[in-house]
Amino acid sequence: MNKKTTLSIKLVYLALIIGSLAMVLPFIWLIASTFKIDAEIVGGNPTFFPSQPTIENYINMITQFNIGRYFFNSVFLSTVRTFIGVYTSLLCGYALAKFDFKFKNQVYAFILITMMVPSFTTLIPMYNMVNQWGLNDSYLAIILPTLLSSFGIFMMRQYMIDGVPNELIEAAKIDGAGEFYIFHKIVVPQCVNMISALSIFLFLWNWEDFLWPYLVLSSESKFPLAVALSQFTGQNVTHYGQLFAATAVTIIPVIIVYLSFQKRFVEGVSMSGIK
Amino acid sequence: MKRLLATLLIMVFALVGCGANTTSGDNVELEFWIPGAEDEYGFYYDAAAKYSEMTEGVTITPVQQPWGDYWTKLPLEVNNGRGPGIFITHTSYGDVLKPISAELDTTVEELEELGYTNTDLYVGENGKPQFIPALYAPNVIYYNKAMWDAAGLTDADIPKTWEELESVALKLYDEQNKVIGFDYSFHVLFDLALQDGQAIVGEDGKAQFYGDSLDTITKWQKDGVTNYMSYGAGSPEESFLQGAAAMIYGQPWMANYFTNTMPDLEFASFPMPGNADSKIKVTSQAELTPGINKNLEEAEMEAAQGFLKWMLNDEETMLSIASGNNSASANTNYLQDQEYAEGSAGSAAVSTIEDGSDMFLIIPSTLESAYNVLLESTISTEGANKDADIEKAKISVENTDLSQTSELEKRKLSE
Amino acid sequence: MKKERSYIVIIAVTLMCSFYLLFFVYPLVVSILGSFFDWNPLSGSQSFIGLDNYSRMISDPLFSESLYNTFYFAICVVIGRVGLGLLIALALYSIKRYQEVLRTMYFLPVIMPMVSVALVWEWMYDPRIGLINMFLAAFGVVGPNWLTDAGLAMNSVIIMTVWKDLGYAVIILMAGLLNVDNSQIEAAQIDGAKYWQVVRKILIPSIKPTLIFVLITSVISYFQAFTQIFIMTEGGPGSSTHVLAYLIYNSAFKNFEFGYASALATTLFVIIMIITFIQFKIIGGRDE
Repeated sequence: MNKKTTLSIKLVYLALIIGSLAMVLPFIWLIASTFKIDAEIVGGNPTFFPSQPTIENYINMITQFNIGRYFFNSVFLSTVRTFIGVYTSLLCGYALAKFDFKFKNQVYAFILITMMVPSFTTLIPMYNMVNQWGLNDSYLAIILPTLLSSFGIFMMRQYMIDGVPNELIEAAKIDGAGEFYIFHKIVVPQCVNMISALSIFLFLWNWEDFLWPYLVLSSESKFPLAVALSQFTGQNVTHYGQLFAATAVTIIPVIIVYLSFQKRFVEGVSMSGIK
Repeated sequence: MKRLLATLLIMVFALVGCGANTTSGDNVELEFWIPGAEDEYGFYYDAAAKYSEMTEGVTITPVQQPWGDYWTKLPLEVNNGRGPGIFITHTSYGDVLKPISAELDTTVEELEELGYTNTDLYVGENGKPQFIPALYAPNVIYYNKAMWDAAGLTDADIPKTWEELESVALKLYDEQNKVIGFDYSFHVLFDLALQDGQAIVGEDGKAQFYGDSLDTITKWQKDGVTNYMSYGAGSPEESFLQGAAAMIYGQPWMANYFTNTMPDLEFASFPMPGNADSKIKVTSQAELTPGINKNLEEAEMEAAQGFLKWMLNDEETMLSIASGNNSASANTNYLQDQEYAEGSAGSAAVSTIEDGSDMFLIIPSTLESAYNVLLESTISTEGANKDADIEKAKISVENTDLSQTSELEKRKLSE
Repeated sequence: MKKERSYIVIIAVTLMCSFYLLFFVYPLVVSILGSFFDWNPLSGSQSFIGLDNYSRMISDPLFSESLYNTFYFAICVVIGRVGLGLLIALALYSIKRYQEVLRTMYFLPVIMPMVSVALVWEWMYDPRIGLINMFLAAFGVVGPNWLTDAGLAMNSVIIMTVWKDLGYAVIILMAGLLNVDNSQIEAAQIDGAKYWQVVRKILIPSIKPTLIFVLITSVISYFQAFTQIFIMTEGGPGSSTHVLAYLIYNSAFKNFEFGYASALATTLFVIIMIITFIQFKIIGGRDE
């Protein structure tokens, strides 16, 4: 290696490190700010780290706002929706990948098209429909539209065509296994990597889902975190410290999950890109 | 796996099942929607608790709603046959609120006899009022006491005219510490226009604009090159908190915000200045009394009407609502009993109201944004298109859509 | 594969048909039909007015501005995301140590909820208490009003969006790069190819499908951008950050004009369909 390449490699490192700092600094600043009193946050001399660290914001958030409840709501909704979404994706993906039936290709093409339709186009009729069914302010209104995931079906179908060997299924059939047994005990275990990748995707999407729950839910006690954050901004007054702390509560679990499963995250995202 | 699924399903249905607002037995339970927390709307939480306590068979439960989508959800919910029994109303949403609100069990005249003013602003199909002003909140000027003293100013220096305010601002201006003398928002344009005798709405019912008040602000910007008068980042209250402005143009509620956010900040208020010879006219926001869901069943309606009637007749509650907003009661009888500490935002508000002629001057929000653009293009740094931008902004003021503004409000603005 | 009676197929097909009919076909049809009606959910009125909503839309200056803003936003974010993403992916690909740690950091914003990120950036952009102007002040620069200056607000939202979504492109493109056959690169290097020649001649062509995938998915999602604008600017100042999605939301849930909002929503649908079609045409044409 000559001097020039060493230098340029060093520059590449430098640029990458500066860039990556830009990626994480906002979060560090946010978390540092949750330990500041309001006067320090809005005061004349902004600081990066708290000058007199306090956990008052967290205490206020727990005592004055139902943060535990919102957190539970978010976990509950995201888990249920993810679980259902992954299971139906496996089922429909399996049917599309390994069976032959009338209009199969049309159904598949249709599912691909649905991925391109903007959600804003169906928003108003969906809102109306949920109201007519008397489902607003209920979790069913939030869970029903995500029973199936076009993206998940597409992902599972693509994978199962080659990823699950036909011989395996045939062999099980010869052994006299029922089709649900084959699906649950043979097909599903073959897709573990895909399942974890899809679970991560769906969970993150459901965790951050904002507009639909915001429109549909009206009881404050049913709000998930993303919606509850809007509670902190009033007509005139914003409690910055508490809002910072509540925002931190929405991202800290994500950071923890991400750091513990980051290999899976990267695999999952990579898989979604390469066909 | 199956057990997990079953558990999840049970949880879904358990969660779906709960909620909703109903009547059980002899007790009427009414939800009272409030778009804010107890620390901001404590007086309404208190009123609900007090009335529920003293009234057999009626329970009024305050339910906090996020401000952001309150005005979307409230009308849709009521229209779908749900929603609260009683709800907070707002002058900016009159057109949305009127179709969903019941008329009060009283008349415009009766309320006037009680001492209320402008009781005919929101009248339903049967000619009865739906909600009326509970208080008036005229804009006031805040000043930082420490800076005031440091500049050698005393109570005698409190400005009565805009010229005096300018010279005080110059004294307060602190170049070294980057403290602006007076920070204002575009709302001041309305006050200046009103005081110049300009009707904001013309006789043809369209918004109009003359140049005088704009000239004043342009002059402020020019004279204040050293920033003793400044149109800041659009949030004078923030610069006040940060000690970056010695005086600001503000609204009465801000006093609470300052005290809560920065308990150490020492500040006081005085009423808006005027032109030396004209009567002081100031734009003023009004807060309205709560509204009643028009779709209530008989027993519920009776309970809701009872609550409103009690509230309007209860001086203590009405004064606590006004004082909670640092504002002047809209009931002239109660106003006489209203007490504020000298130099507080509330006392500045009350003295403005007592000096003023008609204090209900609400600026339609569509017009607010048109004025904002006008002011911004006027004071923005010189650019090639500046004059064209100002012309464009003036035209957009004149073309402002006032279809949401009631005839009555237009009439007030055209006086 | 052969045709056979299978309960799984019956269940899956029933599920798919009913789900997509109910939550997709039906709303889409209602949306298109609704665009020909004067439809107000408050008064309950629903009267046929033909193309009135569309003619109103065409003459509405807010619509043309939103349309322009939507294109501007989508184009800038896609270029920023894919361009910067490619650069970073190539840089990460070329280094040997700390590759994973750095990749982890670049991906962090991607997984964060948009609501939270938008709130954080709203404070970062605050002219007085924000991190960005605090940083600029340390160098004696007076920072601008990022979100309240009409000329700057859209660009501020774009910067934030690129920052948040960059990592996704980085990971996907890196995965593509890591799949490139090493022997090809080595052979080129033996032939004396410079680094940028290797990038241009070998790396980029072999990750072309991945690049196209990122481009397509990006374009579709950025035409519907909403949350960051809703949280950070509410379409303002003035109408400088109004995009189509925000205009639809505002017409439907602030002005309660479901009919007009449906016309806007149908227009958004048509625009996205046309763009997707063009994209597929271009890709299809090149591949063949």
